[in-house]
Amino acid sequence: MLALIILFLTALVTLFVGFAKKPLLTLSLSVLGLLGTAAALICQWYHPSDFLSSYEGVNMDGFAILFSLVAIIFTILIIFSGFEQFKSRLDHTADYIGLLIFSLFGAIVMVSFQDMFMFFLGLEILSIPIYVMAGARKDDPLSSESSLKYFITGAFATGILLFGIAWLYGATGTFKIYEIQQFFMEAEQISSLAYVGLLFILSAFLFKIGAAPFHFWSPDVYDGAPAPVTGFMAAVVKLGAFGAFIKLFTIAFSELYDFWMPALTFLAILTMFVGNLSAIRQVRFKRLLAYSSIAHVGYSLITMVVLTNNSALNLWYYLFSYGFATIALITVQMIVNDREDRIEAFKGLGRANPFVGFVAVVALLALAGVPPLMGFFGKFLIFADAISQNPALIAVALLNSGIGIFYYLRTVIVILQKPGVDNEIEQSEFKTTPLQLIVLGICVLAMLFGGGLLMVH
Amino acid sequence: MSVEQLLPLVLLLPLIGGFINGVFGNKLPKVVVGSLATLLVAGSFFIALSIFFQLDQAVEVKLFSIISLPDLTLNAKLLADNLSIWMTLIITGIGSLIHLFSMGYMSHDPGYRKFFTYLNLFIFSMLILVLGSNYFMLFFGWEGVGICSYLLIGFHYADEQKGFLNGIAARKAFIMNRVGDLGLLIGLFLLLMQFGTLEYSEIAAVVTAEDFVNPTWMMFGITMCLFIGATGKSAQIPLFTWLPDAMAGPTPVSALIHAATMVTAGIFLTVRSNYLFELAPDTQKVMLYIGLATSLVAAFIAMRQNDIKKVLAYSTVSQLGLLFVALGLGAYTAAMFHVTTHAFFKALLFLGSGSVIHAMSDEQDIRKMGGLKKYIPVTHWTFLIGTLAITGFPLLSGFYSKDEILGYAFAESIPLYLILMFSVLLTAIYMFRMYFLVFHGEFRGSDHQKHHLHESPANMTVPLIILAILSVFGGVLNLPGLFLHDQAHYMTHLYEHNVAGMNLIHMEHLPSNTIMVLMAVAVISCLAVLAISYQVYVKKKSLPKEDAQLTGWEKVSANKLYFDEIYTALFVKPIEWLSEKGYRFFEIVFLNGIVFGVAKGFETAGEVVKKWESGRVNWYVLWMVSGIVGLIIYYLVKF
Amino acid sequence: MVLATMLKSGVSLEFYVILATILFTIGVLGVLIRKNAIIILMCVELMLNAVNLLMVAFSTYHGTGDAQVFVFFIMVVAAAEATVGLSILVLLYRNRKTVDVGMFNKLKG
Repeated sequence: MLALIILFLTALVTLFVGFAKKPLLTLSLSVLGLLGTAAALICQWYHPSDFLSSYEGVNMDGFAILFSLVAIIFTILIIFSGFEQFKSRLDHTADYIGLLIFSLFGAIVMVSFQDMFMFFLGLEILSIPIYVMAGARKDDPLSSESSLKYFITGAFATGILLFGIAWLYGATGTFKIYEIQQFFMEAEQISSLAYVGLLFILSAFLFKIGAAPFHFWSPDVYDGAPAPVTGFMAAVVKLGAFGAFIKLFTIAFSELYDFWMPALTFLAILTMFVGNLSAIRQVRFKRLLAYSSIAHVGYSLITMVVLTNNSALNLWYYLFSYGFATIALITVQMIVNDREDRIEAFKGLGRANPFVGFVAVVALLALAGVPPLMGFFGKFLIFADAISQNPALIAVALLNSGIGIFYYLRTVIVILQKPGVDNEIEQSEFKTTPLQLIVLGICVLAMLFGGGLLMVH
Repeated sequence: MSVEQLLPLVLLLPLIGGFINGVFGNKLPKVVVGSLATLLVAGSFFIALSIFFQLDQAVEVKLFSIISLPDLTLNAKLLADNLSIWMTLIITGIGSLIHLFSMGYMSHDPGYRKFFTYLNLFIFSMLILVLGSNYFMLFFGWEGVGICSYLLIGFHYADEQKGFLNGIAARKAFIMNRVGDLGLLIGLFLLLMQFGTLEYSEIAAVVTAEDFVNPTWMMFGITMCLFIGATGKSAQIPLFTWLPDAMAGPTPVSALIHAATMVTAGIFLTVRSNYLFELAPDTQKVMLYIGLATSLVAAFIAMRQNDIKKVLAYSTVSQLGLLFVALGLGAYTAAMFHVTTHAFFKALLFLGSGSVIHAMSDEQDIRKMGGLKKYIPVTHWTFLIGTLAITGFPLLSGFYSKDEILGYAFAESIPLYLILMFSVLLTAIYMFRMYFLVFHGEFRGSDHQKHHLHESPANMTVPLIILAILSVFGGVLNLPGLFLHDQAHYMTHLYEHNVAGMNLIHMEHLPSNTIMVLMAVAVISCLAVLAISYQVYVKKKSLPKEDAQLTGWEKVSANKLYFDEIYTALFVKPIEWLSEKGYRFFEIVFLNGIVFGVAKGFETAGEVVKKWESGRVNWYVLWMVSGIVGLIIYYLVKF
Repeated sequence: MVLATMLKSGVSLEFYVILATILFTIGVLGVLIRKNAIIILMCVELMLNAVNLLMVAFSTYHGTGDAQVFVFFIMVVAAAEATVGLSILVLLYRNRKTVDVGMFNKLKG
């Protein structure tokens, strides 16, 4: 709880400090607050009894702390890398950062909830700031279009989720996830209300993580939204949604595993194919990232399909590795800063700015799952865990990884190419800021040596 | 300092040298580069020497762990016992002399720094090969010396006239070694399968245990694979043709790598694995006959070669064959003894030939030489000593080591002894032929060459003199009773003391009067050849014929028994034909069809799936609704 | 007669459930069919209100107050969502002078 309170205050303070129109002050205060939150979470890890722990709605257990810490790290990285863009609109700098922190608050609530109240609130606190942030470039029609699309589909999904919760409540008579679990364990006959409710909730989750056929919003929104928001959605929102997903389904619906598992298997396969196949023909970088993220959702869903003791940790590690790669690529995208966001604009990056080019290549290879990068270990953990239970699914996933390598490597080749001699594409300047370089440095270190984390866990 | 502390240093010094010369070489003056490389290797030698004198029991030093899995542990571990330290002494000792020689020999070469970098790296790899405590380290060093050898053979790849051929020679060596390396690698996998470890000590412990049941076929497989590896590196039939071509490299390289050290890696491997070979008598037989055949064939080819280095190269192959005969007989100590003396006199001969070539302005054809003894006296005398040593002239080092092997051959069977003796005779014939052609008679080169004839500088002659001294006295190393009170041979005693498996091997010693007879035969034949050669080449001044005039056996010998042609017809041509056809059909039609077809298929699929993303939000909601409806239908179907 | 029975025993749960489902479906269909963003927003609100109705009905059925509290949460969130939604619409109108969602299809593929 203490962490949540600090985070909330940080967001508020950030918003108010905004009046001073001093971007650096805003930045340092917000990052300080985020670090404070992280510190509070780490204290919680070592001293689980919190002075406010009597509230039953949220519980900062180890699972929640791990997911929250990663979400905080990602948020800091995104604030750093996007700071240049935030700063360009001086009157809104604090709003951008504040909204991101509010959204992070929602994500943390979503991984620590104990009942449907907090889950629902967390989801909304996570989503609503993103609706706004997606449209943050107010004069850009594409940005507002993405905002609209995200809002309509998001609000619709909220309706679906609530409908599901209501049905579930009708069947079980409680909102607390452990009581729901208890109910399913003891019930002799489970009414159809519960199944339908479960399916509605599942649909809402699939929407939030961007799994087929609920994924349609994500390419458009990733594409239209400002780059830092895209990064935030890919890294933090996905983390929160997946955290809540695995928590709810492994606790409340664990007894119904046999019911939802086949459906999820099918959807995981569908998601992988949709993501990878659509990505092949993309010419815009953020769209490519969006489809790649859909594909990665497909891989991540395997942990849910094959529930073992390691599932939560594997999922966490996978999202962790995925987040670093995506944030690195989003940062590179901001450095390239092409108006139309063409992949072609990356041409010559490797020669013009070798460090940035190197990080971009490493990140793409990490997404492709090339050893010894962190992305490889993430995939390896998931596949190794699942292969004995569901070899066919892993075969499909490997096939999809193969397709994935195709478009990742194509982008790598573009990056390594000589700068174009033709004047059709005006050469980007590849301007970097120190903060972005820090972000890239952290990301590349994580991707190169993140495999070492496995030693710990 | 203790052995444990000193041992890594032996390895480290050449590595440091290679690193400094490789990275900063261009910023350092030539003198610094050369002397740094030389001094570091010499430093290694003295450290190894101090280890040699304080070593009692075998010592293992673990550096770090390479792979650590439940079923497989590979450590970077060093092993010091008398065998590995003995090899280390040869490598670093002769290595530092050759480094010194190179400082003079390569002084005009633009690739001077690169040369010393490679040379240091070679020493480092070779030391890993001999000092490693397991087959993995051996393999690592094995590949390391392979790559250094490749780089150094093709060192003058940019030469305007011969650069291309040098490149081809390097490639040939590399590819032929690859064949052998595959054998070695399979051998290692088999070892791993059989014993679950690659550590020498652990395998030795298993194999020499009293209750060990010999898996005959497995042992045969393992040892054959190891032997195939050895034939590659140590240039035995059928993989020997690369070694003569390897003479394309600078002469010090030929001396160091292709005469004294690297080519003896196969011998080392076999001696190291003596306990395995002892369990596979069939492999020993194979080894014996391959060695014998190689020895004969190479000696025969050497008879009519006219390139000074080629003669020495074939002589090396022939001597290596002799060594494998010894190994096939189980005479490991004798083989190591001959490795040692051979390293002395063959390095001497190569360096001497280098000095000759240097004096002759890069001329290698002995037909263009002659009468050099008065122009380059130091080279002449040392070369003469080398020649006498290799031909087994009494009391020189080759006399002892060769006679020991001949003695064991005699004990095995008389025909074997006779064939081997014949090969030894051939050796004497071609060596004296070369010696007389180069140093006696009239000078046959151009006036320009004659004008330039000069004795080499001191840093080239000093190594020659040291090696000459070693070639004369090297024989005492294995004298019975040396430094000892009992009658055991010195090296035998040394190896039995702490080299795994060696104390279990007992060679029958011939009665001393038989030994005397054999020695007399050897001495007489050597002297006879010397006398006849003197008659033919000095008194009658007969010269080698031109290539076109050669007939009969001479033509066959000059054409190297047509080995290269046979290999080309047997392997190269069919493979070229196959790859041509394969490229046509398999690559273009089949593979490209599949690869591009699949890629096209996925791209088309991507195009279709892309259309799904219509951009209209109502459709998005519709698809979400249909997803939900689908899930509900799934529910209805399931219940 | 039927009406009298119903009035006596109170409306049974099924009717609430059916009514809520119908309302929800109308909302969904509205989101699907209508092109005007404001109406879509209203239809979403209709969906949420259907949920509210369902919640309250179940709450009475189970005899616990949880769901009624939940309804207040939903109302608050719905209000927040509506605020954000309307401001997005204002933004869109400024940019494109229309709120027809069919016109916003620049992002696709």
